[in-house]
Parts: sequence; structure tokens; C-alpha cells
Amino acid sequence: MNKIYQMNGYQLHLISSKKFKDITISVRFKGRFTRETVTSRSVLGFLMITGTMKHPTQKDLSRTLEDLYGANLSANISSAGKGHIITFKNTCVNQEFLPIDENLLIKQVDLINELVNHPYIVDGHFDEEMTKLKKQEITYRIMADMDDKMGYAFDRMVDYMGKGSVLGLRSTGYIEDMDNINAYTLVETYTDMIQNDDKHVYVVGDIDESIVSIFEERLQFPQATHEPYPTAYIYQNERIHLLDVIEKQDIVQSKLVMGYKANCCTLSENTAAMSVFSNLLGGYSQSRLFQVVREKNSLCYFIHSSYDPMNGIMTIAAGIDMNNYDQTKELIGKQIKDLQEGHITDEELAMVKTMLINALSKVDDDPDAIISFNWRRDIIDSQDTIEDKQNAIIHVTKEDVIRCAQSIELDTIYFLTGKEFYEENLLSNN
Amino acid sequence: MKKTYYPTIKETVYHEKMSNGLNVYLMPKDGFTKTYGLFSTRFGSIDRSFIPLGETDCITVPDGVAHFLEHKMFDMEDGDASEKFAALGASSNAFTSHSRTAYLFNTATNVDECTELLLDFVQELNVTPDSIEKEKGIINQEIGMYNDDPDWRGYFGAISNLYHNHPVRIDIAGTVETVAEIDYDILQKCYHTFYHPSNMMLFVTGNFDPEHLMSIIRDNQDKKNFKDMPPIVRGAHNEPETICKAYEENMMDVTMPKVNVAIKINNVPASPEEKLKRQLSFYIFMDMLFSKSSDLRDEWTKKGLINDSFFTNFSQERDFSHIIFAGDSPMPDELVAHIHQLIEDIPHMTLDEEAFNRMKRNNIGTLIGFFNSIETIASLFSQYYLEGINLFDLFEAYQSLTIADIKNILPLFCMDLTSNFIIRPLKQNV
Repeated sequence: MNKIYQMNGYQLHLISSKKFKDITISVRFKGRFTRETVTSRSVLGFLMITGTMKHPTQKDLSRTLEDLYGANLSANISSAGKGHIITFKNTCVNQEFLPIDENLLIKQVDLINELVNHPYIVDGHFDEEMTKLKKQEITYRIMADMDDKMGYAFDRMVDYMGKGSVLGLRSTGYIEDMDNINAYTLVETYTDMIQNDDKHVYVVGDIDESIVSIFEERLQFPQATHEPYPTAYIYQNERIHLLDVIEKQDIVQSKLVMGYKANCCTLSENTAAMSVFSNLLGGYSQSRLFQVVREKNSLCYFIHSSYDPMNGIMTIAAGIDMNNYDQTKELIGKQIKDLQEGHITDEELAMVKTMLINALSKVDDDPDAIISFNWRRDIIDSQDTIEDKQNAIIHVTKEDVIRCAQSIELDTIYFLTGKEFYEENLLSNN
Repeated sequence: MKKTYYPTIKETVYHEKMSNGLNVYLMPKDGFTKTYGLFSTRFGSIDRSFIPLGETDCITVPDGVAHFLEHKMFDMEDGDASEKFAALGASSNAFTSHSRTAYLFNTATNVDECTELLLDFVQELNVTPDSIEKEKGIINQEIGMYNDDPDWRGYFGAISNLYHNHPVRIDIAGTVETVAEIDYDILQKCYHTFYHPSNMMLFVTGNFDPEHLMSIIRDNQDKKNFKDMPPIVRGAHNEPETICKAYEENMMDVTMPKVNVAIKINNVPASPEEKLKRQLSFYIFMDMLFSKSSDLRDEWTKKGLINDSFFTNFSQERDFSHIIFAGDSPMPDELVAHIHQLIEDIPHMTLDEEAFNRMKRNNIGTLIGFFNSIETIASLFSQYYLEGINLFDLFEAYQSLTIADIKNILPLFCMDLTSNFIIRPLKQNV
């Protein structure tokens, strides 16, 4: 069963499956993704899971969850195109596997309601100490994220490519914006979220339709009064020149990231073809880039291309020795040119399509993947099922893939490299 | 074929020992689309010295050889194993840990063919001196990637301080220098010694008929000839009980300092039951100390010593064991001092019975949740199996654990066996 119900202020999605041993509830708020609001929303999301009116402290709340056989409660901040998303997730073991006889689902729904509708706000503000702690924690998280060098290089490429637009925004927020946030301003952010965000609730597990009444009775949200906020779009910019950036750090392996305008997004007719093209180029172990750059030329351990259908861009990332910068770029360019010229065998096309079709079949075995699939479809108002997506892949032709290869435009090349390379190549050129 | 039903978790496992000594376990999962196969051997980075099959003297091989062999196993006489899996619509991969190497496939179609392919490619070695040399470039990039990863560096820094001789202190992939020493002869010796069916185990879980799949496996194995294998003789590590170094630090181009405090545990229990009891006692005790409901976590968080990145880990594999406390901290020296004080206090600590029971429930709930994912099931089952433990015994083992068992492990927290490893940023941040 996969059914959608229009509830009071939100859409309820029930996905019933007997194979899972727990019940997952995911509540998703989608707001606008702007520089002004992102840091505050990020702090808010993580702050909200630290206490409610009934369980004001983190300890109280955690004890309640631990008593529910390790029920899990988490917050996650992400973005999808022009949308900024706060997700709360609660998982609880299905009582069938526990030596108890009480309805845990009711407890789960009550917990979600408490968390989202009754946050710990007293006298018009959140808890001061907790606010301070969460601001600090997110500051540290942003700093620690920079220590993952591949991730850092990727973020830097997107910073440059999307400068001044929504593409260039970081969904977790900015350290320098933390000062503007306090226990009072967060109440405004909360009020805006609960009032104006688009709201979806997903339930996956061994459930039936009778649980709709539980939600009717126990979980309501204010109704947003505007049109749904935008999400997917095709990234464009005014710049005509290729942006070529080299930065240095004291690292062993250099990281190369290339950004392309895909000129198509999940709303476009050719989105399935773009996905086939990107995976054929560098999506898996049989892809062109993996075979040529890694297997034939031994230049890297890691190389990957990926299509972001919410922003309409494609990226290629690789970890390489600094001396192989030019050769790697050249090999990547050659492979793309080869596909543009139509050199695609029937076998390689069939193989990548099978891979994508099977990856879609596997969605069904993982509660998080099911929710994520449905969500990405619901936020663009599509009704496509897994089978529809698979059919779209099946119908992609060689000509479609060639057209995709021809339509992408290299926009930004970012190279994070060791000091020596930087000094030899960059300083001498200047 | 023996069938065992586990009523607590409502799962069935089928077991058969092949005539060549290979143990096969099958666990069908109703309703799942995917099938996941994991073929493991007791050969990991710590198997540095051993008597090769058919020889009489112990040899020492270069560090990183198990991992190198893992990469080269995918070469088949008539092509590449990952390409063949891809043609079947499956994905494949492999990984090497301290004490094992494992090969896997994940598929939504062609289960019989994938299972046979997994057996076939691992049960035959096809390397040439040329293909070995070519792989070195790829592996060196993989080593470079790990060298830039501060979490990985911190972990290996800490454990290499604990051990004088035990090869667990060496990176799993080895170093650029040791990888350079690996040749055809060394790979052959390792392969023929450690990849005998009697040293391996196959676990398959997902969507299949167990009787049918077992007969496919049986026929496949009956067609192959393996010589009878005497028990493998491994060289002793001659590891003293003391630690190698109590303190070390390293500078890296990171934004946040990283702290790793490690405690060496001597005398790993010989019996699997005792091993398991010790492991689960540690899990529960560390949760009692540091779960989100704990006073200690609350206090350290409020002091700014730790944040979400802080974690503890208990390792116990074959003949080594240690505990790690790790996390990013803006006050690394203060955090180390607090952890030291805690280690001194633990042996005299009074345990809270209520917290113990809560964490027990919490851990059982988490264990049930693991059975949602076929990847997690396969990974846990195989990991425990190679330590002589049946995954399904964990339920009973958790239930029968008492607070006295927790008391028994407290003396293992010992300052004389504690070492710290700190990674500091090259430049001062914020």
C-alpha cells in the first residue's frame, strides 16, 4: 500500500510493508532556501530535538526514547534545488518483536506532535543555554566538515560555480551568520516554519489504513496559505568564461572537481536520459571514467560523476596525484567528446540501464530510501512510481544520450592541491 | 542442510558444510527485492607472518598484502568480475579489515548466477606481474586519500601507540613503500594459504529459495578440486602487555583539533561466550556513560569539551582488543584530562541499575532494527561468525547480562595502558 491523505495542514503518506521490523515516521518541512534564513533554520532543526514542553531537557527526552527500546529521534537539514528542508525522523521497533503489549505507534505520533507543535518555548524564547550550545555545535560541525577534503573541494567548487545564486548556498548555514541568531529570533524562525513551510509526513512499516484516524486525532499543523515553494530548477548563470580555480592546502592527494551546467532538471523531459548519460560517463565501476582514468591509466582510486536533478547540474570528482592534473582533465574531456560524437556501444548502454533499473528496484528494501524516493517525487508534484521511472530509463535511446552529452557545458574547474603544485604552476603563471 | 528458526526475531537460517570444508549460511528474507552475498576469508592486515601452504618455514609478507590481493581478485581469466556482475545487473565490491577480507554482490536479479560468480572469481587467482604493477598506482592513490583523512589518521595514530609489535598498528592498505615490495610470488603464497574453502564462509541473504540456492552452491563446489588443508600456522606477534607510547601529536591542515584516547586491553577471552559477554558489557557500559541521556555527556557538552562528533568504540578481533574515545574538540588538552580522570574513576564507579536496564532495552531495540537491512545482517553475521559467535545468540546474551558483568569490565580501564593521540591544526582558526 502506498497512499496519500490530505490531512489538517499536511499530506500524510502511508507506505505499508510487512518486511520491516520497525516503524519509521519522517516529518518534512520545506521552506525557502535563502542566505538570510538558512543558518537560523539549521540551528532550529537541531535545537528542536533537544526538548519539548513535556520533556524540557535533552536528558528527559532521551530517557523517554531509550525506554521505548531505543526509539531513535533525529533531525536532518538538507536542500533540494530552491527548497530548504528540515526533517525529523522517529524510528521505533514494532511492538510485535517486544515483550510488551502497548500501542507504540500512538506514542510515536504523540512524540512527533510534542516535538513539532510544542517545542520548549517559555516567555517567548527557546532555552538560552541550549540555544548557545546548538549554535556552537553547528559551528563546529561546519568546521569539521571542512576537514573532509573531498567534501570540502566539492563544496568549494559549488561555491564558485553558484556564487550569488541558490546553487552556491550551503544547507547547514554559515559560521559568520551565527551572531544574528538567539533564543528569541529562533521563535520567529519556528513560527515561520510551522506556519508557512510545505509539510509532509511519511510512515513506513507494517501498518494499515486504520492508523489514519490516529493522525487525524493527534497531529495537526497550521495550513500554509501560499502556493508550494519552488524546488527543482535548471541552473543558469551570466558568466561566459570557464572558471578555473586552484587552491592549496597541506594535503597528500589532490582533489579535482568539475561542474557542468546540465541544461535539464528533474522537471525536464530528458531527465532520465541525463541520468543515463551521467552514469555511463562516471556513475559506477563499468563507467567510462572509472575504466579509463582508474583502470587503464592508474591515475586515481576514486572518480565519480553525478547528476543533480534538483539544481540541473552535473559534477565530476576525483582524487589524483597533483602531477596528473592535466592528464586527468584531458582524459575526462576526451571521454565526454567521445560520447558527444556518438561512440556508444549497445552493450554499455544496456548495462548502465540495467544498473539504474535495478537500483530503483532496490529502493523498496530500505525505509529511508522509500521515503526519500517518495519525497523527491512529491515535492515536484509528480505521481511517478518506481515502475514509471524504470520505464523512462528503458525508453532512453542512444540518440537521447548523445543529445545529453552535447548539451552539458563545463562551467567551473576546481583543484585543491598541495603547496608545491600551487607554487610551481600558479604563481609562475601570474 | 540444517534449518534453524529463531522465534525472537522471526528469521530462519539454513546451514550446510560443503565436502571441501566451506561453510554456507543462507537466510531468505520474505518480501525483499534484493539479495546480498558475502564471501569472507580469515585473512586480514594482521596476517603478516605465516607458514605458506606446502612449506615448512614461516615467512613475513609486506604490509598491505591482504588489501592488495583483494583488489587483484577481480581479475578473471576471461575478463573482470565487476564487469560480469554488472552484465548480470548486480553490483559488486570487497573490503579488507584487520582480520578478514570479504567479497560481495548486491542484486535484484540473477541470484543463482551472481552466487556462482562470487564463488568462481574468489576461488581462482589470475594475476600477472604486469597487472600487479599497474594496480600499485591505484592503491597509492587510495593510501593518499586515507592520509588526508584526519579521522583515519587519528584512529591509526592512537592504536599504533598502543602496540609495540602487533600488526594491527599498521594501516590496512600498507604504505607506498610496502606496497612497492608486493610481487607475484607473495600474492600466490597468500592466496593459496588463506583462500582455501575451509578458511572461508559464504553468507547469502535476500530473495531466493534456500533449497534451490544451496543445491547450486553444492554443485558448484563439487566441480572444483581443493587439496585437503592442514590448519593454518600463523607467526606469533610477541606483543608485550605494556603500551608502546603514551602520547603523540601530529599537525594537519584541519580546522578542528581531533582527539583520540585509546586503552589497550590484554587477555582477550578465549571462549566465544566470554568474548561476546565482554563486548556487550562494553556496549552497555559505554552507553551508560555517554548516551544522550547521561549526566556526563551533558556536563562535558556544556563545558564545550565535546560535541556530536564524540564517540567511543570497543574493538575485539581475534587476538587484540582496545577501547577508543574520539571526537573533535576545540579544547583537546582539557578533553584528554577529563577522559583521564574518568578512566581513573571508572574502576571505583557505582553503577546505576536503572540506567543499566534502560541501556539494555536500548541495545536490544537497536539489534532488532539491524534486521531491516540485508547488508547489515550479512556484515554482522559474518563478522561474529569469524569470531566463533552466532549473531542470533546476541538476543539471549543481552537478556542474561547483569550489572555484575558490567562490574567485571571496570578494572580494564587502566591509565597505565592508555595512550593519547591529538591532531592539531597547522594554523590557528577562529
